[in-house]
Amino acid sequence: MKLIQKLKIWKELKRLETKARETPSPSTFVDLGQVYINLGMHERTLQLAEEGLALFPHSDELRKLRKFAKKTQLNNRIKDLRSRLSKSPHPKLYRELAALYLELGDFDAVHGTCEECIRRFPDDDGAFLVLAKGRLTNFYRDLIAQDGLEAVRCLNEVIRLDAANLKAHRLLGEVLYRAGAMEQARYHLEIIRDAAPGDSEIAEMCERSASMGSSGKELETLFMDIEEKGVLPNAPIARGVTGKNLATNEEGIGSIRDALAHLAEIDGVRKAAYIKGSKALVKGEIRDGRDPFLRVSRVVAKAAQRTSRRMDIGNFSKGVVEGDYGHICICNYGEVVASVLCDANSDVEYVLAELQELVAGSLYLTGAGSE
Amino acid sequence: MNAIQELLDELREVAGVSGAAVVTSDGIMVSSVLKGRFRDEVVAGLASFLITTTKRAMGAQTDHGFSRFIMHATHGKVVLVDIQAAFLVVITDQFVEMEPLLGEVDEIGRRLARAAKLPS
Repeated sequence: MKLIQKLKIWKELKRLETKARETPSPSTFVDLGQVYINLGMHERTLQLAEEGLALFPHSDELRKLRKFAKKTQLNNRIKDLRSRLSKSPHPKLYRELAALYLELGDFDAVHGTCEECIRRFPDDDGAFLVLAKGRLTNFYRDLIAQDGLEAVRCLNEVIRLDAANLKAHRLLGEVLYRAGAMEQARYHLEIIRDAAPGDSEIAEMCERSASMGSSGKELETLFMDIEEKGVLPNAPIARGVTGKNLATNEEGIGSIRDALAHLAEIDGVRKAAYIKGSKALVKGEIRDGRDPFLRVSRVVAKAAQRTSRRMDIGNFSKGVVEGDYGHICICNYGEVVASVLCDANSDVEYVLAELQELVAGSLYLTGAGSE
Repeated sequence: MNAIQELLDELREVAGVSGAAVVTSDGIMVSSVLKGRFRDEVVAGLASFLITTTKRAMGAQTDHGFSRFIMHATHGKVVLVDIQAAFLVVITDQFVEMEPLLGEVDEIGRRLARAAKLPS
């Protein structure tokens, strides 16, 4: 009986493999992945999900399949490490385990594992480094001050235990630079520059931190400002677009104005606005910069940003407020807010996609996409 | 189990929904079915903050507040629906398909509004 069942499964597997090869689509890949999962072939499932995503990079089902396969694969390794740790605890095993939890995005487990390691091996810098990496990941994603400050504390602890830990100096130098703590960043960046003179990214950060000087603010204040504004003051060097900003880049403003005009021409759109900090560009039935719609867009985007972060669901990216007045569509990234007031029967999905396009394009043009 | 709780339980069964709650605009939790990391007092407080801030801002634009607020974030989505006496708050993962979900949410919202009117 078992043999017959096995044969049936293998026959089905062959059929699905052929189907995925001949008529590839997210669903054929997912169906095949399901059979691999049932057979316990997790490595193959992961490989298949990667192959599928190479063909269909926007498929949610394939992303879910990859996530599941990855999780299963990591969970098996976690189980193995846990059993080895219970027999003979070693800092290296703790570090490896914490790194796996980090990969899974389970920060509570990372924290627990590192704390356990620090309790048992207080002179081991590795656990502090993993803890710092976890905090940094969260900080760069959500811009919560507490995460940034904790990352700095952990990295300082690593350097206290091992002053020559270049990885810690690099991470600390970069986060301080991006947060605007130039004076403190320079010390760590110079250590890295001396150790790796060929690193152009570090050399440029060193140069900029020296030329920009200190803001005179406490580290806590800088991180609280970042949380409040939702944007890091300095972009990473490799991705930064230098020498351009909204105030000076006429070409950039022209493109934003054109995109805004295009938005205002969509059927049903009554008002369109692009807001960056205290400046705004408007199109449609908006009289001037004192139009209440601008204030509504700013306040709602900020309130939504605060709510989503405190609710621990990451950064607010877009939203739709519906009422008797129609729909207010808002797209938010850092300090940029683009919004539209349109009729209730408008194509909201299309409007939101155009708003996202406008915001993404403007960040590239103005070099504001620091995070 | 009361009618509101039953309706929230029904909503929780929808794929991708991480939790649902009925909250008054001043932050009182009427009923909830929240999973995992979402805590009653946090969700009630934040929903109240978002509702009152948005309504206040709308005051300048219109006399009315809002009937529905859909919020997309990096790791999840939140839908707020005005059910007259209170607001229905639905939290989902980031992958959920909005169109079918909104159909379910609106239907439950209508039934909740009716249930809230009935004497207990």
